Amino acid sequence: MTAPNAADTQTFLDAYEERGKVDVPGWLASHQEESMKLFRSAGLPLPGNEEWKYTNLAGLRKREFALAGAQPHQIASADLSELLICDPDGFLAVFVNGAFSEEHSRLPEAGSGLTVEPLSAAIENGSPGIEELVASGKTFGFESFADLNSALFHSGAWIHAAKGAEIKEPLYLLHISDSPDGSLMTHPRNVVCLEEGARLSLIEDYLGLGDSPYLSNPFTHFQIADNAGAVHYRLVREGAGSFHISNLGVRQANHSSFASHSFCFSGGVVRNDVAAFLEGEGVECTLNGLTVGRGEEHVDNHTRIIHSKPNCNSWEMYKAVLAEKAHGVFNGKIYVAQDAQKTDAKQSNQALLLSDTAVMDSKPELEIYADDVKCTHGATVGQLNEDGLFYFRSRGIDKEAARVLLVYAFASDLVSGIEHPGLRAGVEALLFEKLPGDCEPAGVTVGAT
Amino acid sequence: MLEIKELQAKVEDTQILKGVSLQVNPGEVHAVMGPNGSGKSTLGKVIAGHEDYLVTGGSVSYNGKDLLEMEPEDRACEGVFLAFQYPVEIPGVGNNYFLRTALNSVRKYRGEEELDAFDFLELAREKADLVELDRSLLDRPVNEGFSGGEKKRNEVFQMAVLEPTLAVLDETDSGLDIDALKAVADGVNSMRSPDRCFIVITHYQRLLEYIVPDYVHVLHDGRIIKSGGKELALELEEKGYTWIEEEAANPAS
Repeated sequence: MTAPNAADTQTFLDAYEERGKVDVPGWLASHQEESMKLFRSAGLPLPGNEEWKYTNLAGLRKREFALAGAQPHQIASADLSELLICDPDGFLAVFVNGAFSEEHSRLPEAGSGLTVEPLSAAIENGSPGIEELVASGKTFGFESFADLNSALFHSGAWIHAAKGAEIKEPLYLLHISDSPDGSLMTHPRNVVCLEEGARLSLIEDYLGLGDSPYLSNPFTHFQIADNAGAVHYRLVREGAGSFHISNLGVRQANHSSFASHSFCFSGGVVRNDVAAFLEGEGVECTLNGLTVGRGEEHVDNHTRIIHSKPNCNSWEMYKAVLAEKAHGVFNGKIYVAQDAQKTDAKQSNQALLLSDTAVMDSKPELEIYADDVKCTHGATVGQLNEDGLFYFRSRGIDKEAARVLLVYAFASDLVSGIEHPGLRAGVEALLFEKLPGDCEPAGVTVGAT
Repeated sequence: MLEIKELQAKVEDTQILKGVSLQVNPGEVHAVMGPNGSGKSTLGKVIAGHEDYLVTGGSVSYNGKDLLEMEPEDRACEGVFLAFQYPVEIPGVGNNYFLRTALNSVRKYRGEEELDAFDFLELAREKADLVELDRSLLDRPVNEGFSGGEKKRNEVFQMAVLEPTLAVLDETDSGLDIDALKAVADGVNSMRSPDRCFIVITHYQRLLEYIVPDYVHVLHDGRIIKSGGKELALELEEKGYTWIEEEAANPAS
């Protein structure tokens, strides 16, 4: 039952066994056991694996990891406000080293149409539908890290929006990792369910404190019913030594919409897998992503959009700004089933390389079995616009500031797509922080003035 | 004020300027005319400091300073302005923000106080009206989706805000209809002053009916082959460039 690379999985098996039989319902115990078996038989992806061609996990393989305890690691409240990317007007759920921090969180009252609970509590309470939803994680076709999450998750958020509930303010999930000894691993599981006609915006923010190694392995999945709509923001601000491997799965029913805006600002080795299943008619799905990498950061975005019914639209725009020795990867698959006539799918991947040593690998994959569809894809890799640079300098703007402005201009359409003003300002500030030079961010975006 | 001596410059392996000398004093307007490929635009870009143009000989001094030693942004701060023949579109950066950043860089360099957004907007609106630039273009991304005429007006608008002491207009008339041409010329004329000089690069005499130059120079094959007063432009309009080229080739005849 063990793969040739079983040694790589030993540290995870040890953690699983050490945790022992925690007090969970029988269905979950058997789901976790089955998931651990699947993970062990597949092992960690090896370099020969086509899906991992550009992302080498050698650094992860050598390390040993341990689960943090069920008690949250302490973070002072004063520090917390500094750590948030924006002032959350709505609800907030904070997780520190994988454990829910009640002290820092602000959850909705019962009966408000939105239920947000630590997943462990929702399982304990037997929230309606939870067994099927948690188990549905295995249906997205993700690889072994999703199985590892299923085997080892302790908490995360259970989010349920009732039929017709329109939640105005975004729900903010902050996942903090603090791993001074370099052995932490967390496997947050966020399960999101939108009933018919519900509306919800969700911010998932992954933040690392310090540069020591750790593994952050979150798995988030959405189930979106007829006419419901979700907006999803994902921020990766992990530490320099981190391995951040995430999976995001979405299932959409008739006339539902889902828009994901993903921003990766820091991390050691980052891999994001997204799978969106458009299972009803008239579905709209948007997947946007911005990566800003420098140093030796590695960011791999893998997306799959599966069109299985007629009259659905998907839009995908991934951009990367890569400086120094950063390495970006984009692999975007669009699958159009025979039944998915009138599909309109657009995919675009653009990279801006700011140094001769930065690298971008881009791979679009279109698999189309319907004959009446519009599917387009485009990929560009370029350097900073020299004409624009001279234009700005000729007006008195110094070279460094001109470069920052041009990089900002490249990324701005993804930033200006953020509806929440506080979050948009926070992302804008992070972008400028990550770019070289000193330039005032306010008012750069068109329409922000 | 501006003193160009025996300026030589090349792009990649092609020698474009082969020894241009030109002196421009405060308050003067000089027109540089010439056929396509004569080096007119290159002259403008070398003055502004474009890195693709390598200076291989000669000198350019401005107010006693060696212009060729300066970065493009420092030249701008010293009062040099180039109105581009092909203004660059920059999606994602607002026209207002771009120009305020530029103006404040220049003000900072000159030891002047920076303008806040409110004061800048007041100034920008005043100058936009001066060159008849639609105010709504101030909030749009730099040149993105502007018509040819709007782009050229935007160049003159930037000039009006930055108030340079040396303005080089590179074929600012190209692609303009007569109304736009008049608006651009009115903007330039309103800026003529005893302490500001202009180099107007153009292929046609038409613009010079509205911006009347003090001197006209004919550039051919990287050299100024004839200089004269404003009447030279009329002569060129009538007779074309060939007679001057022939005159220059056979100075004895």
